[in-house]
Amino acid sequence: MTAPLLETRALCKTFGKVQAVRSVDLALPRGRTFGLVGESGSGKSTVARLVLRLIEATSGDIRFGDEDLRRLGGEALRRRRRRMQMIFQDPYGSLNGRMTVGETLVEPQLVHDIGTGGRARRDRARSLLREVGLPDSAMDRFPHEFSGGQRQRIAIARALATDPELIVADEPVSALDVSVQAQILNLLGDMQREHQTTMLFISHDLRVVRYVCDEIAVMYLGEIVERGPRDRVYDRPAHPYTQALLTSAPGSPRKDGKRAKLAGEIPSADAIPTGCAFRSRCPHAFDRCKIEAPRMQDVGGGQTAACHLLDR
Amino acid sequence: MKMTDPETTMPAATASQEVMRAEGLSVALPIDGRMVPVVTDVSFGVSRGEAVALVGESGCGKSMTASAIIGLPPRGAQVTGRLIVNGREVLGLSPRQRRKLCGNEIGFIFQEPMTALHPTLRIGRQMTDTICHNLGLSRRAATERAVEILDTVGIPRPRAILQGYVHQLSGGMRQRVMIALALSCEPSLVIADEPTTALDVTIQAQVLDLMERMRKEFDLGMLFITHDLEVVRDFCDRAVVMYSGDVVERGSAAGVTRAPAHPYTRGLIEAVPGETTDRLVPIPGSVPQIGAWPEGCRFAPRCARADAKCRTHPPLDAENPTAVRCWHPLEEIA
Repeated sequence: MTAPLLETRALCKTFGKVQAVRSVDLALPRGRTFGLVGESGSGKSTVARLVLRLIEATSGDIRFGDEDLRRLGGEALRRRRRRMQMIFQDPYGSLNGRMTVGETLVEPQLVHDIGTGGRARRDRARSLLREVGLPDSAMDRFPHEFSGGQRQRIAIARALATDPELIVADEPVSALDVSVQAQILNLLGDMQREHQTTMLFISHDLRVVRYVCDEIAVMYLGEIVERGPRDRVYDRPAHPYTQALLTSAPGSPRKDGKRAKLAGEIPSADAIPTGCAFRSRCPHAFDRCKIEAPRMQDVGGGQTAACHLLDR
Repeated sequence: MKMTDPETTMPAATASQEVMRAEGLSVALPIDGRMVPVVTDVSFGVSRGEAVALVGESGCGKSMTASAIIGLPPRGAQVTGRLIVNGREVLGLSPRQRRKLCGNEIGFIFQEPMTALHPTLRIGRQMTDTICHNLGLSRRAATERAVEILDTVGIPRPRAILQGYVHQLSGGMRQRVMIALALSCEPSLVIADEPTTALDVTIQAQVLDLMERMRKEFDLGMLFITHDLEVVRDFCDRAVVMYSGDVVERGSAAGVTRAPAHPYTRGLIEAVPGETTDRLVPIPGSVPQIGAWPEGCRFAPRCARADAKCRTHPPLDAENPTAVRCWHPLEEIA
């Protein structure tokens, strides 16, 4: 196996008393799609921003290729950023409403000094548009003239404009209607295969993550509780939280005629339970879970999980 | 395979229990100086104890239909047709009469409780105001009623919650307060507009359980507005599918979600990722803008089965509770 494109070690981020990300280890294999799943407050979006250095980590390492990303500054970071792009949930908020689509696609080329001359850059912009399924005539129009799905296509074209190695997509289809969502998921898949891009795909939607991702990590209260190849995690979830997530979706089998598999709610990130953070909602919690935080352990097939039950 | 549809065998028994019926309900909005239709000729009923889903994507008119039913359409909207609530025609009533009716007989649950509940009024004040106004109780009796109903929806320490504000609660707790408020005046119909869409999946399951328990306990009729066909299949008895202001399909929730008759409904089902990683089959194109609906069948430009016949607007069998608005349905309707 080749070295991962992006790797984090013991990555932490605190906002005042809030521990948003707690010692996250990630390794994104090149050319694959890595899914980060979790409910609100799990820290998944914070991880996305940390690895792009849109916000600074409190501690821990981020390696991008063979570079220590946290040590890069100024010009070196700016050059590195060409290789990392982001797609956001809300394509309305993330596109500049006063720039035409053409300008939106030419600007990143200018910033990163790609192509020679306006004509070449505009040609490239048009070919990016065609790649995401939009006509050349979109060049001179503004984002508000497009539907949500078309705007997300524009955001994808903009992300591709610098020919990035890594794309971080944070809930890229959550704001879209299902019929359009499927179009964008297919497009992201095609793009990833075509360009051999590495993708960090962040979502709360387990159906979408299953469709898109090769590997998955499940987050709860700032920590990764389980990680592994897609089919392993979906078919044989080892952590009680993953098990509950997968069976809470509407239509899943019910226990005692109820849908809910977990009682209570996610604790606040400034009052994380001692020991295992999940124990306050875990149906299997026992004494040890109060005292000792479980470590990640191998459960076979490249799958790891952090749960004391695995020792039993 | 088509599921047997219980209501086709005994429509008369349910009709007498109907808490709400829309007949040819249409809504038009003033846009750029002209009236533009946003909901056209919508007919369906909700009976006591049953959950009816109003399904569709954004812009299909499902929320507009709901706001017409509760008598709170946008300013300048023109609502026509018939709307019967507990046996009384309500479209002709004055806003004052409608308001009185709305609070007492129809409860409403919004998607985002933060926008529906007052941010700077204590929860207790909001609840007792509503209860005093609608049930004519004293402040003290209304407080007791609020405590009772908060307890029923599973809120711990309800008296403390009444002293607090909405922003102090989690998303799941806010939605429970919203449900309590909707139930506080003993309605016979509850309309819920995407009540679980903004919630995390483990909390969504809790709220759906709660709503199902309330429906059974109070024998409520529920109109459940959603875009999620899994929720329809799991939670509802019947389904009404809307597209561009039209009802395109109507039937049992099991029938509509397992063996859809309208190409649009099937498209919606196929567009959702399942357990395989087979390439998704999206519906091509996008939903037409309000005011720019195509002539004839409004789905035809996106439909693989469309032909010359689809230039004429297909009818929907008004008599049959299981019906499809399509010239080329996917299955013969039993």
